[in-house]
Amino acid sequence: VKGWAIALAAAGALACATPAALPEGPPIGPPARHAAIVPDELDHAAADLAVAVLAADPARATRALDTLEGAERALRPDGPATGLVPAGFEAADAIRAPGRAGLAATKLLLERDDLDDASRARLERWLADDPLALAQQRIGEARFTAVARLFNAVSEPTGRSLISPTTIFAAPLLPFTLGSSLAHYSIDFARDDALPLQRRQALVQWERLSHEYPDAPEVAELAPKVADYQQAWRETQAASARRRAEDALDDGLPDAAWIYAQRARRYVDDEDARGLTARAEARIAVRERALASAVRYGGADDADSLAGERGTVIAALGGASGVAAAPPDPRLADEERFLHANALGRAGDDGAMWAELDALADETGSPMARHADALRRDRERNPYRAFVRARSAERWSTTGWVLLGPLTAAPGRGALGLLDYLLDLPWRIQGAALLPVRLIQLPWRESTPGAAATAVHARTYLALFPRGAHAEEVRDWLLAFESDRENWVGALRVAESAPDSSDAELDVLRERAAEQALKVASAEKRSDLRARLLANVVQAFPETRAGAEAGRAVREQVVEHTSHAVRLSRGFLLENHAVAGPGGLDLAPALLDGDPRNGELHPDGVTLVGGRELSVAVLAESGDEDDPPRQIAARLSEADYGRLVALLEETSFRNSLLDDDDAIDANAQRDVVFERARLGLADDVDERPAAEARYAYRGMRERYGMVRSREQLIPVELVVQGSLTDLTLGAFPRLRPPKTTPDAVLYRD
Amino acid sequence: MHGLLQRAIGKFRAASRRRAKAIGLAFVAALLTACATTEVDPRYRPSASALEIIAVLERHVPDDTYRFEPARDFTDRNVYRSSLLRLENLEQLHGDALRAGHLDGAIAFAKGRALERLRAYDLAADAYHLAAEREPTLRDEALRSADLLDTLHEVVTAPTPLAPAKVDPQRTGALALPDVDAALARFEERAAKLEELARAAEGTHHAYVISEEIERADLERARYFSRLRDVLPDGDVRAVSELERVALRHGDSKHANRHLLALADLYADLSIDYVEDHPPEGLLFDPGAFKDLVDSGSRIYEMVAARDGAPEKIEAARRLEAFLAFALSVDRDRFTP
Repeated sequence: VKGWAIALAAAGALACATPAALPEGPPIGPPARHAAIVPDELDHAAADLAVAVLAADPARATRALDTLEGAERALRPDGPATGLVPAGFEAADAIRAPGRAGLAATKLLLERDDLDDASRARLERWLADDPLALAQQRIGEARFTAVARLFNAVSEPTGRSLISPTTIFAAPLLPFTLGSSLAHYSIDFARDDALPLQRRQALVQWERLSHEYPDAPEVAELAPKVADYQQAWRETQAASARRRAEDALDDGLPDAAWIYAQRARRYVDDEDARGLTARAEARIAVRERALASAVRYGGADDADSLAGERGTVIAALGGASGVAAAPPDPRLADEERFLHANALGRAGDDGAMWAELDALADETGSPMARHADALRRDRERNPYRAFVRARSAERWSTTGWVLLGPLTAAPGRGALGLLDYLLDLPWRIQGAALLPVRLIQLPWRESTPGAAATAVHARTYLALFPRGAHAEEVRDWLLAFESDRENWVGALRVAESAPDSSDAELDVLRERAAEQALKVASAEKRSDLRARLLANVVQAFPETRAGAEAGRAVREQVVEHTSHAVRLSRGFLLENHAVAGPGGLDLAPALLDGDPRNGELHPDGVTLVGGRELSVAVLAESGDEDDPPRQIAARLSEADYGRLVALLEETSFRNSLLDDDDAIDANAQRDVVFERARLGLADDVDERPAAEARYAYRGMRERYGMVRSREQLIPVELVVQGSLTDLTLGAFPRLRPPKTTPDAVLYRD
Repeated sequence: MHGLLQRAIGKFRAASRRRAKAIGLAFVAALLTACATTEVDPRYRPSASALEIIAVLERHVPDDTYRFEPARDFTDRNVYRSSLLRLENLEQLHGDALRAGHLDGAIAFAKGRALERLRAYDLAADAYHLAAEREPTLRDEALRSADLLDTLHEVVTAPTPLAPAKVDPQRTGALALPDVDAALARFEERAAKLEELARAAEGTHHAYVISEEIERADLERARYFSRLRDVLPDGDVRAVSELERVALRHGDSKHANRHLLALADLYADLSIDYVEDHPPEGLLFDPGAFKDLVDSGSRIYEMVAARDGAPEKIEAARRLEAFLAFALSVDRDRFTP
């Protein structure tokens, strides 16, 4: 054994060290022309059947099908079957059993054992797309989801109590944990939509059935159920609109609340919706009254008195230096203070301005206090106050989280929300005791939305008052914020606006910002945009390492750029012999024989680079697959190129039917390139960057490795779950609810 | 006794070995059966592929593509487009097997059936002419289809009534208003021709194709008035009525949601125009007129946003939110929902 191992290692080392040569001949075969195939009796029978089907003549199709069957029996009395007869049945049934009658005919066809595997998969998918089948599947999923939720509500607390290292402590608590879990389940159940997602999907399929096949017997049978579901759907819509109305009321948006409440009433005009409408109207009325009082003038109400006040007001407003003069009338003192504050702001002293306005706003009873108060609350005009408040709120929130943990979460809306909160209270209290754990987590806690809002106010302040009284404090905070979230471009912008930033600090930030910009530019898929972004990096950060790297990348792109790059990897070619073989690329066999001494294909494989040109990647001289390959150019004839793209498409279609993991990837640019190739227009290359086709056909082993992970057939999983917040560990079985379908987004409100 | 026991044990072992062997063989056979794949004989692949493509296509030829979205095949493409591409692949891949010409007529006819659903009426007519020439059985239907599609191509490619505006001789440097009556007459003429074709195609699948073209013609007419609403007298009212006409006439169409969205979009545009022309803080702003526009637009958006499973649902829901955000940004003393 030892000897074998040594020999194997030596062979391996030798193989790795074997230098790779270039292939001796051309990498692909010369254009080939094959002799025509003379059709036999079966081919003629199939052609007759095709014509009968296209002529929509069922009798003729049946006769042609009989002829086809007879011809196969005569040609192959003892088998194997040619596979033509099932194709013939499918074609004939297209006109003999139109519409939904085709379902039964297809089921019969699937019982044949000479049906091609790919056709079987295709027909099974077609059957599964029937509205009734889809509705049934969705309803099954809805039922299973409901069962799974109940099962999980029981299994989780039971498992965590009984299958746990701390069973001795946890088991006595089982009645309580189980009761709590079931209570949560009941609350969730009560909150559920009247018509959950999967049942909504089923309803749409039933409606599709009744529109497309109004005479189908199932339509009448389903009518009462459809009516029930439609009523439940209306209730769901109404509940959704009510929730939105409540949210809008909570956010202080009574107009939006009114709109949503009205929407709810259009679906179900119940007491709740009417109550919400009334609440929204009451809030709107309060606002209307406030607006009315705001525009009311409290001074003299006759023309003579107003004329008498005119002189005093003009004297107060008109200062020779632009700053208001001392009021000749003490009744206008507040107006003068307001004007004085504005003048201070215009002179550039924002700190003094806001101090004056704050003082004025705190004085109650003065009409100008109301204006000062409105001004200081305006987050656009007084961003520093907003910044301080947002920062303070953020600090309080963090402090609250550290000290109290889960106890800080607010209960949900309504009685159910409060009940939910109370049920969780013991766990929340237990979690609140884990203060040291939260202290450890604190440095890694992600920034919250509150921090982002604080940053917005900080940026507004710096834009309004770049040299303001608080500019340094705000700038320092913003720099730390951007650095924490590694937005170096943003951090550099802040640092550059600071008058006292050191050159060393700016150099470090510039280097990091350049790296960030380079990363973004390199990730861009469109070549022209990528080149532009890279050029921007060069221009914006000329002295940095990343700037130089971007320059190199731009030059490389210019040299190596091809109109298209549709790659057929070596793995793909090995798994799909037909594409590599004489009917497709006609690749030189030496390139795939595993012997680098006569030239070997690199894992990158062959790339269609535009026109009818190919780039064949062969191993580097070192023979190492990890080294960049050597590229050999080749060119296909127009006919061979057209055949190659047709074969590629048909192969990928067939593979997608035979293997669910090999689904067809949509790629519009690739399809256009292929379409032009089929029409003989491959040489007329579309050079627009937007028309670039970038796509890779890769082998299944390349994509998934030797052993593919499979989705479990049985929807049960054993979960081992631990929690740092309440220091528990337990194991329990869990029923996995079915995944939602990709079109679920079309059912969300 | 010992010998008997030994023999019995020997027999038992031999029987066990035989049983194990039989089970092993059965297992291998079962495994081989399970792993065996059924494939069409490569010699007959071209004929089988042609039958398969024609079967899929023919199942969807009678589909009412005016009312319902065209079906999709296993590649998730429009079934007519997919059939056309696969027919082209068939011709490229199996040129040697098809050179005898026994499938020429069928393939050309099938291409015609696919192309006519992709609005390539002229190419479809060419394909039908070829099919008529190559396949006597299909000749009558191919020629009927070709004639109909030639006429349809003529009607839909006739010059659009969106003619360029002319210089107004009465006013130097000004352009004359577009001749609405002339444009309307041409729209009516196109509609009449399409209606006539629809009568000729009654009872065939071509009736659905022509219904789609009638819908397009109506939509083009509505767009004509929508685009000119700023320059025509009462242009806004006319544009609304034309889009309403499309929505009402084509309520059964698969594009019904799109027509409603277009109408709601027009109301949204009119609301924005109204606010731009009459700033809410100004004296000419009429809260009632603005509310009318907002209510109409939002009601239609809401209607589409409530249609489960329709792709337009998301568009409508997002546009509704955006439209309401715009409406609620108008000063609250000027617009109260």
